[in-house]
Amino acid sequence: MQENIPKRALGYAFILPAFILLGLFRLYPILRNFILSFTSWDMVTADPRFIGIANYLELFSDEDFFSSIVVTLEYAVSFIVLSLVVGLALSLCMTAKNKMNIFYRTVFFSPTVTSMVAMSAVWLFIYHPQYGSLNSILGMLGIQPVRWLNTMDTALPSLVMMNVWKRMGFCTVVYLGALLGISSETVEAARIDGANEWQLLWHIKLPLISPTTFMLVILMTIESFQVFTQINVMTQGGPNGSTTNLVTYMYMQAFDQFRVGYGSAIAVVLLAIVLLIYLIQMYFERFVNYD
Amino acid sequence: MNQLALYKSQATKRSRAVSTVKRRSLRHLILPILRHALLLTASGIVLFPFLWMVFASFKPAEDIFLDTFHLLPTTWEFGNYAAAWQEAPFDRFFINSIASAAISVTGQVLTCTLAAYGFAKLNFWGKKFFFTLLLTCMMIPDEAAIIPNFLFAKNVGLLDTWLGLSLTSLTSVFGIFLLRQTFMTIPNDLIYASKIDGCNELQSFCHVVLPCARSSVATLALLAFLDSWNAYMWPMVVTYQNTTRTLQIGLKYLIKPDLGPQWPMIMAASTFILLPVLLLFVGLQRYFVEGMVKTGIK
Amino acid sequence: MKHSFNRFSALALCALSILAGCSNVNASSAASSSAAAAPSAQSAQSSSNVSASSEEQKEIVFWSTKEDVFADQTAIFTEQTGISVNATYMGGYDDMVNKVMAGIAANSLPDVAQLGQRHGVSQMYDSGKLLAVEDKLPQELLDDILPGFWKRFTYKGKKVILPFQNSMPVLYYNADLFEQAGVTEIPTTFDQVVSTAKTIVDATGVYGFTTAEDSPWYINALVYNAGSDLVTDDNKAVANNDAVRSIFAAYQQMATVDMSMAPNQHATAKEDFANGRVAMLMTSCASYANLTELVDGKFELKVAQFPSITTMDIPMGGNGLGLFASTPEKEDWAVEFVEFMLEPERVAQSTLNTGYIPVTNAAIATDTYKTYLEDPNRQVIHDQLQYLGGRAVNPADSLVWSEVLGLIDTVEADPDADITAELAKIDEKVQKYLDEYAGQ
Repeated sequence: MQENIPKRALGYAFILPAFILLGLFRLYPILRNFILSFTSWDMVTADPRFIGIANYLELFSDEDFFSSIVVTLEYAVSFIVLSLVVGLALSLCMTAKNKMNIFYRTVFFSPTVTSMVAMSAVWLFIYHPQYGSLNSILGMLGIQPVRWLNTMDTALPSLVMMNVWKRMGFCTVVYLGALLGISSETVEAARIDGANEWQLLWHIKLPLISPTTFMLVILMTIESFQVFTQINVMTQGGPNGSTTNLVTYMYMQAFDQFRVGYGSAIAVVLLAIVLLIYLIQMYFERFVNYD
Repeated sequence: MNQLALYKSQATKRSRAVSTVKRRSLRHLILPILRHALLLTASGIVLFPFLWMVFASFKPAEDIFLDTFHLLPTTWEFGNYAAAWQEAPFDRFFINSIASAAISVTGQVLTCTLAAYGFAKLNFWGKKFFFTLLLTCMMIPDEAAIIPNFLFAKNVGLLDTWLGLSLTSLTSVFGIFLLRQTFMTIPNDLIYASKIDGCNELQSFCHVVLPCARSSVATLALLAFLDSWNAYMWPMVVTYQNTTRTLQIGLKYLIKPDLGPQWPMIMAASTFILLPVLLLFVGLQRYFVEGMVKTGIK
Repeated sequence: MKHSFNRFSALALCALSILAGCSNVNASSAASSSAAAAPSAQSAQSSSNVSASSEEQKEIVFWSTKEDVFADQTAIFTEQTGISVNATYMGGYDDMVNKVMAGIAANSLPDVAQLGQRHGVSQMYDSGKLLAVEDKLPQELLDDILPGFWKRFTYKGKKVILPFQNSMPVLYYNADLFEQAGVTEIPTTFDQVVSTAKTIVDATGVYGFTTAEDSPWYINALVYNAGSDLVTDDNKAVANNDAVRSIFAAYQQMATVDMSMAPNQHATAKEDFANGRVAMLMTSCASYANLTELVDGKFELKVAQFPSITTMDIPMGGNGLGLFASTPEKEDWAVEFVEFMLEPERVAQSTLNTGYIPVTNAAIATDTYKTYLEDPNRQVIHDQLQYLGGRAVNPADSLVWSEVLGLIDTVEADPDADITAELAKIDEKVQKYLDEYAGQ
C-alpha cells in the first residue's frame, strides 16, 4: 500500500506538535491517574497516601463497579449496533444524486452539531411519562405510556435511543461516502448477472464497505465508553444505578465523594478495558476487505 | 477479486433472468416507495426534537407541562427570549465562544493536518506504536483528565483566558484519524511528481496534499468549531469570571439552585445558542457533509 | 513565494491567536489570573489569597450560587464601605463544591463563598482553608441566629458556616383535591399522610403524594422526626433500624401497593403538582413563590407543616456563607460583608421575595417580615421554624445522600425489595467510608 520514503526522522517532526499537546493534556493525565490509583486522597485534607493495590482489590469486590461495567457494555453494544444498522439503512436509500437526498443528508447530520447539554434537556422532556411528546404520540396510536427514564429496565435503552438519534447522522454520512465509492461498473455487472438487491447488498456492498464499518466500530466503541453528559443531565446514574456507567461511577467517586485515588483506579481500569477491546477489534481486521 | 468469482457463479443463474424481470419491475415500484417512506419517517424523527425545542421556547411555563400532545404554543411568549438573554451576559459569552472556537480551529487545523500527513504518507520507526498511542489518547474520558489539566492551566496562568478555554482542544485525535483516512486516498504519484519538481516534504504537503483534501480540512475545521461551541465542562472548570465564560455555561445560569430549572428560558437559550451553528452548518453543509462522505471512501 | 506564504500566514495566525489569548496573563502568575480580552473598565483583576499589593482599592472575592450575584446589594455595600466585591456566579451547589475543592487543591480561594449545606462542608473545614465563623463574627450576630441552624452548621464543636438563604421542607397540598376526595382533616403525622394519600387516589384516581427531586432530604426529615439517625454524631452508620425501615416501607407501600405515589417520578414532581396531577407535594418552602406562579390559580394551594412521626426535628436546606483563610485585612472586610448581607431588613426582604426562611431574630422582628406573615401559608411556614434542627454536617453526607437516593429508587420500583438487607449494605458502605476518612 505504501512505499518507503526514506526520510525516517521527518515523520516525527510532523506528528510532534499534535503529540506535544496530547502528551500534556491526555497522556500526562493518564500517567497521573495511574500513579494516584495507588493512593488514597481526598484532594484537600491531606497529601495522597500510598496504599498499594488496595484500591484495585476494593474494585474487585465492589458490586457497583461491576454493575457499571455491565451498564457500559450494554450501552456500547446497543449503541454501536443501532447506529451502524440505522446509518447503513438510511445511507443505502440516499445514494442517488438529487436535491432530496442532499436535504436528507443535512437533516440526518444536524443532531450531531447540537450541544449534548441542550439536547439532553429537551429529551428529558420528550421522555416525560405524563407530559412527554413521545408518550403522547404513542397514546394517539393506542399504546400505553412508557415510563422511559423512570424505570430501571427502560432508562438505559432510552439513553441509547437518544444517543443514536444524535449520532446516527454521522454513521449515515460516512457510510454514504463509502457507498458512493463503490464503482458503478461493479454494481452493474452484478445486476446483469441477475443479482437481486439483497444479494447485491450482502455479497458486494457490505464487503466493499467493510473498512468503513471497521473504522466506525472502533470509533464508536471508544465514544460509547466516554458517555457522560447525557447521563449527568438526564438520569444522574439512576434509577438505582441502572444508568451508571464507568465514567459516571468514576466521577461520582472522585468528585462527589472525594475519593480521588479510587476514582483514578476506575479510570485506569476503564482505559485498560477500552484498550483491550481495541486490540481484540484489531485482531478482526483480517476479515476486513481492503482489496 | 472475489466479485469476479461471484459473477461467474451468478452466470449460471441467468436462466432465472426471465422470471426475475417480472419481479424486478415490481421491485422497481416498491423499493423507491419504501425508500422514501423510510427517509421521510427518519427525517421526521430527527427533526422532531428541534421543533419541540423551538416551540417550547415560545411557551409560558405552565404550558410546557400539559399532558395533551400539543406542539404549538397556545399563547406565544416572545418574552422568554428577552428574559433568558438577560439572565446572564450572553453577549459577552457569544464573543468568548467565538474566540475560543477560533483558537481551537486554528490549533486543530495546524496540528491535525501535519500529524495526519505524517501517519498517512511518511514512514518512521514505531509508527504503529505511535498510532496506537494516538488512539489511546482518545480512550481516556475528559472527566478523568480534568483535574490535572486544570492544575496545568492554573500553573501557567491560563485561567480565565481564551487560550485557556481552548487549551484541551488545540488538537484532536479524531481529527487526525479523519484526515489520515482522507490523505491515504491521495495517490502517492502526485506527491512524487511534486518532489521531482523540487518540493521538499513540507512543500508537497502544502502544495499538493492539502488542496486535494480541502473539503476534509474544512470538515475538520467545522467539527472543531462545533466541539468548542458545545463544550461545557472544561470551560466551566477553567473560568472564574463572566468576562471569559462561554454560551454553554450561560445555560447553567437558568437553573436556580433552590427553584430548579426555568424551562421556558432554557429552551429559548438553547435555541439561540444552537441557531448560529445550525445556520453555519446548513449554509456550509455541502463542504461539511462532503468531507465526511469522503472519509468513508477508504 | 506562494507556498511558503500560506505556511507563514497560517503560523502567523496561530501565533497571533496565542498572543491574544495570553495577552492578559499577569506577569506575576503565582496564583491569580486576570480576565481576558476586551479591556473592561472596572476592576479586571481577580485576586486570591495571595494579594498582589495593598492598593487603595479594597476588594474581596465572593463566589455565589445566585446568578445575579446580589449585584444590587453589593453595590450598596461598596457605596457604604468602599470595599468592592468581586462577585462571580459559580453554578449550583454541586458546581460550587467542585470549584471550591479545585480551589483548595490549586490554592486559590475566594474570601467569601455561598456554600450549599448539602455536602462538602466537612471536607472544606478539614482542609484547614475554611475558617470557623464563630472565630470571626461578632457574638451578637451569632446569638441572633435562630438556634436551630447551629445544629447543622456546627462541626467538630465549632460553628463553621453562617446560615444565609435557607429553607425547610414543608407539605404543600391541593385543597380542591382534598375537598373532592372528602378529606377534611389535614394530615399532621406521616402515617396520616400515607392514609390520606390512599384515600385521595381511591376517591379521585389522582396520585396522593410525592416528593420533589431531592428526595433524600425528605427521608432525612422523616428519620429525624422519628427520633432516629442515619449516621450518628460520632460517625457510626446506624441506618438499619426499625424507624428508618418503616419509613422506606411506607414509600414502598405508596408506590407499589396503594399506587398513591408515581414511582420514581420525582424529577417533575413540582410540575405534576401544579397541574393537579398529585394532591400532596413535599418540597422546600423556598419554592413557595415559584409554585404559586406555576399553579396560577388553577386550584387552591395550601401549605401544611411537615408531618411528624414521634417528634418534630426539621433539617434545613439551602446555603450558607463560608469564610476562607486569607490576609487579615481581607478577612476583616469579608466579615463586614457578611454582617451587611445579614442585616435584618435585607434578610426580611429576601424572605418576602422568595420563600427562604429568616435566619435571625432581628429579621423576624422587622415590619417587612410582618407583611410576609399576612399570607396564611407563610404563617404556617413561620410556625414550623421552632422545630428547626436536624443533624450536623458530616463527611459522609454525599455518600449517604446517593445511597438513600438509590434505595428510594429501589423501593418505589419493587414491592418485594428487602429493605433490611439494603439498609445493612448502606451501613457497611458508609461505615467503611467514615473509617477511611478518619484514617486520613
